[in-house]
Amino acid sequence: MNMTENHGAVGKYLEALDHELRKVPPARREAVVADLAEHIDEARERGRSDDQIIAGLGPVQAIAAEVQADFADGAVEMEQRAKRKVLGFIALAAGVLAAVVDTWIYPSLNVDEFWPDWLHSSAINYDASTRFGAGLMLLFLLPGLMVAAGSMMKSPAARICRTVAAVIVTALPFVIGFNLGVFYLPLIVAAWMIVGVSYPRQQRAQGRRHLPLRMTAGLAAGVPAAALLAGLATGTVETGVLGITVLAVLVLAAVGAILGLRAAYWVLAACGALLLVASVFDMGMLVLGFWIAGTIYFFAGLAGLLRLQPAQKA
Amino acid sequence: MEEQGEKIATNIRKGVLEYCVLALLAQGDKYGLELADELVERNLTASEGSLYPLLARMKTADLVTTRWEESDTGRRRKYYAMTDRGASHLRQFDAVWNEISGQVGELLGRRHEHD
Repeated sequence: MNMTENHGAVGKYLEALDHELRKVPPARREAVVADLAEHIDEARERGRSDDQIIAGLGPVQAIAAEVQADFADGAVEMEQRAKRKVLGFIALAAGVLAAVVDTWIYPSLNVDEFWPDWLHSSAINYDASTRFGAGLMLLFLLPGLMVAAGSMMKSPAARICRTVAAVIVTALPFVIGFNLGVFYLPLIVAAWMIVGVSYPRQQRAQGRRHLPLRMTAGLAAGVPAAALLAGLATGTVETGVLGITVLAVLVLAAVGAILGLRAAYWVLAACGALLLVASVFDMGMLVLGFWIAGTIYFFAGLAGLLRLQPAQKA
Repeated sequence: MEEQGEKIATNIRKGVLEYCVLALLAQGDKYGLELADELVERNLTASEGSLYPLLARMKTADLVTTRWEESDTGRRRKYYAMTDRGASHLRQFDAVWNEISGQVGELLGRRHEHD
């Protein structure tokens, strides 16, 4: 493969092909160009003219299209696998965090005192939890592990396993009661997102990409921003550096989320993670609010980061 | 009319090219240009260039393997050989092709009778 010999028309042809293949992984790109270079060398040895050879090979665009076509399917699968891996780790983290918050902190809150009677609550006795605290953690750790394991599976039955895992974690709050079950929320969302990225998604029309997602994320950041603004305006909330900063961050995140900017979704996910982790330190009844708001923010941000590809900023 | 005929041929070739390559390799191992020449000679491909992406795909799918061999002039040649999997695909294609070409031939024959 003496590429140095390939001046003139042949050199230009191979260069043009190489350029057309710029989005294909380097290994494949080099292999195809090398194959064609070999073809050209062999054909030259048989006394064919360069123009004849090039005419026989056909347009470089057609060759590149062939390569890209069969690479595209594999790329989608690779991308989905990477997304599932991220979600699997998040599911595991959600299980660990829920176990910590729920088993060690929650019993000291006496949430049961203000828990509404009409909402199914846990039959688990917290006296038992002080004795079997670590064992009770398994209630959250095991479902987290189950969802994470499903996300890593590769067999054809993986989709079914993931769906079953999602159904099981969704059913858990109904079984053990919502006062404990609310802590399954992040795990449930992660489990269903894993199911979601197991199926091929149809491309949406340009310009209207992910509109429901962007609107939901915008609302998640925008509604508290509006509430905070009203609070600041009426003096219910004290005007301070913190209030203004939070307001600015929320407004920017809301606008950015609606516009589909990745940075805005990073902010949302970070705020959500912060709120979820803050649940560990907050000892008041706010823990439930922190937990639910954190879940919404985190997954709204995460969904944006996973769905919106860098190349197609809306 | 000529243009329409070319269009039809392109569409049909697209579906069978992979199996034509396997059928050629069933006769013996071949290098790229050999395959290209035989396909062009039989009018089974219009652009030899697209043969190489196809061969790469078939290699990934474990239908063919490649090995390097030296030519008489001392240059390295990439030879293609059919795998067992490739042979099994070719047998399946043989059966399907017989069925389809038989049925299509019969339909076309019947149409001629009505003319």
